Amino acid sequence: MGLEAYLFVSLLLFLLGLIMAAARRSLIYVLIGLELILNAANLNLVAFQRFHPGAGLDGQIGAIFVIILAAAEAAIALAIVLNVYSRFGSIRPDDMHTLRD
Amino acid sequence: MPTADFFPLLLAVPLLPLGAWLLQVLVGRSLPRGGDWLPTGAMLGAFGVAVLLYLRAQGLGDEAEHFVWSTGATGGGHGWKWFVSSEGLDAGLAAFRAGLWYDGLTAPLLAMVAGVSFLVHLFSTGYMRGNSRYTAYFAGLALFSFAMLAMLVSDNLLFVFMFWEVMGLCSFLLIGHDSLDRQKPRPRAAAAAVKAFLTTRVGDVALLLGLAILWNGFGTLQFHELAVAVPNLIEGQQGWPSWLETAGVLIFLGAVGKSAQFPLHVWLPDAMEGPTPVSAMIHAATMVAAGVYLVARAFPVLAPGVLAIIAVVGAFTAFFAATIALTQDDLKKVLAYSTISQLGYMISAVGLGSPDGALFHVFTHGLFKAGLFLGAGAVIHACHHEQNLSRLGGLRKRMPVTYASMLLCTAAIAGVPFLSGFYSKDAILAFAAEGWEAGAGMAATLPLVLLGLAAPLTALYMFRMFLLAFSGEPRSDHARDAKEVPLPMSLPLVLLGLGAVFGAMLWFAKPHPSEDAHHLATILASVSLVLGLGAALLYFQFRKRDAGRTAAALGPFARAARGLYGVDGFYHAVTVMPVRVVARLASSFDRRVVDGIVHGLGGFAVQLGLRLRRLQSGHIQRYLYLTYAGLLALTLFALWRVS
Repeated sequence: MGLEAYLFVSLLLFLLGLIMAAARRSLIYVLIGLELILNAANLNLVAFQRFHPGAGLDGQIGAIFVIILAAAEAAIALAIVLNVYSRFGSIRPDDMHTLRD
Repeated sequence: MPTADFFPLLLAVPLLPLGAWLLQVLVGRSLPRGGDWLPTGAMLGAFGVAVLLYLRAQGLGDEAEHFVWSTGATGGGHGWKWFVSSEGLDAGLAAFRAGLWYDGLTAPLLAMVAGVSFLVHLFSTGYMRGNSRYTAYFAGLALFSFAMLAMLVSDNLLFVFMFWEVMGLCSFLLIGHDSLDRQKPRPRAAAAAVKAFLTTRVGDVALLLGLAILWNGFGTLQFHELAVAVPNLIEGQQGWPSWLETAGVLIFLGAVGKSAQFPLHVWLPDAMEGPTPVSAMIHAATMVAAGVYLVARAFPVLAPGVLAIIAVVGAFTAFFAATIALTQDDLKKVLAYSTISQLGYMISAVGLGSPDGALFHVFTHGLFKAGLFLGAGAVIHACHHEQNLSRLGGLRKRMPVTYASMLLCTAAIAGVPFLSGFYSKDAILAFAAEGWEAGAGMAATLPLVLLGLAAPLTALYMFRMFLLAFSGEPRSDHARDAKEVPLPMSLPLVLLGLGAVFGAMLWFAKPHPSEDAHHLATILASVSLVLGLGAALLYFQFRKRDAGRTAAALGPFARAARGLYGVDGFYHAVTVMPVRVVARLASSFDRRVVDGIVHGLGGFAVQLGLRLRRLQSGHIQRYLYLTYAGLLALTLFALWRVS
């Protein structure tokens, strides 16, 4: 299996994440979409490291950083979602458009 | 032979009113009585000093006619150095110098101007009482007097021009004085002030050009240097160079504007919108006299051809204005046109080769015309601002002092023998007769004919005005209730009435026309007086015709004169209307094009903002879509650049 297959899966994940973040009607799913995008990037990093022998462990370390960031992001984002829910009584993104002109 | 204290004294004459003006402007309002005593007192001081100088000059006896005291003649340099010019260096003169000048012509004029100014100040303390801009009025009057006095003691044409311009400003301020009145603002006064300023400006531009030509040609503008340089040049070139003739014509144009000669006379009648003492000031002591003074002083640089033009223009103005004066119903307008007519005599005298005679008439005219205007002011004051002759009348018994003063002044201007006006006008007529005897052709004949025709007209219109105002029965309640004016106003009238009688004796340099011409002129003047006075008495005294019926009797001629011969209408058509059209075009250009661009830009930004704000919807997922679109666009751009 060549690099292209990994990249293809990564692309798929990325697009799915994009669509999910933009189209789903729940903040939880939007967050999951963002996670998918991050993981698509992770897959890319790991795959490139695997197919570039001279790269050492750079890709893997990058991926670990991204996972940590994703965990932190999820913690903050879920807290925001909780707050949004207590304020608006809903977690539909369409219901929270008070920040507008 | 001036003594050491002479120049400080001479300098004090203009500086006293200047100081009064300065104080009046700075602190006048907080002084008691609005500070009116300050300029009045300063003028009294200036008059006193001028009289002192006059007496000293008179002490020279027979020398008095020819003496010259100037900073140029004392050996201690030529006055003070003002600026250095390269042209002057070429002509052998290191710098432009300005100094003082006092001679047999200046002496009586200076005393007359200071005296008349003082009397006008004094009269104004009564006439202008209660005016809402009393202090400003006296400040203007003081500055006006300063400018005229300073002009008279200047020894060069540039300083004459500078003080001449100060006078232009003062006349503007004073003619328009009532336009800012707090109780009764008069917009017509503002219009008259602008008209006076702009009309005289036409002449001033010409004058400045004329002075530039002289400076370029001679490198000096001092009277005594020009009087030497010009004959030298004529001798060297054997004739008058055309540039010098041009300069002469341009200088004369300046006088045409200032001294209200045809065709720039239109501002003077309108200037009647100013308070009456200001009219006395403008018509007698300052302003219009400046024009005559200028051409009289610039006489050495005027070529014979220019002099012929001056003589004809002056004589024509004298006649032309006299016919208009005959048809005016407004007391002050009659006097205004009479001033134009008398100025015509003076200007014509310069053209006939007698600047002395011209200044002699300036001197006597200053006395009796000031008397006439202050008398008119007294009448207007007493009759509650009624100045239409057809509503006056019968003032003889009600205002005896004013009546007596006006009678003397009217007799003087009409040329009754042994009064001051007789001598000066007689001299001018004599020079005209001399010119006619000596020369041939239109240029020699016209001045005598026109001035001769104007003489009986002068007597006629002046006595017409006088009889309509003072004799007969009062024709309105205002005239019926008139009372004599208080002392500060009647005293100047008495003094000026005396001046009108004896003024001619105070003049040094009596003109000397030839014997034959003098006889002819005397006969002409006497016949004129009899004709004019007789006609006026017959018509207005015994048949009791009023002004309106006179005009009807004279038919189309009177209608033309009443319409001022269309001169004002003509100016309105050729100067005012085009300016208005251009102004309207400019205004619409400004509104449509300039404002259009400005408003268009602003509107564009507003519209753009209104459209862009729709993007700010508050829906986070729409923002995401926009982000994706941006990402896509960047990606495509990057791919395009790479490939």
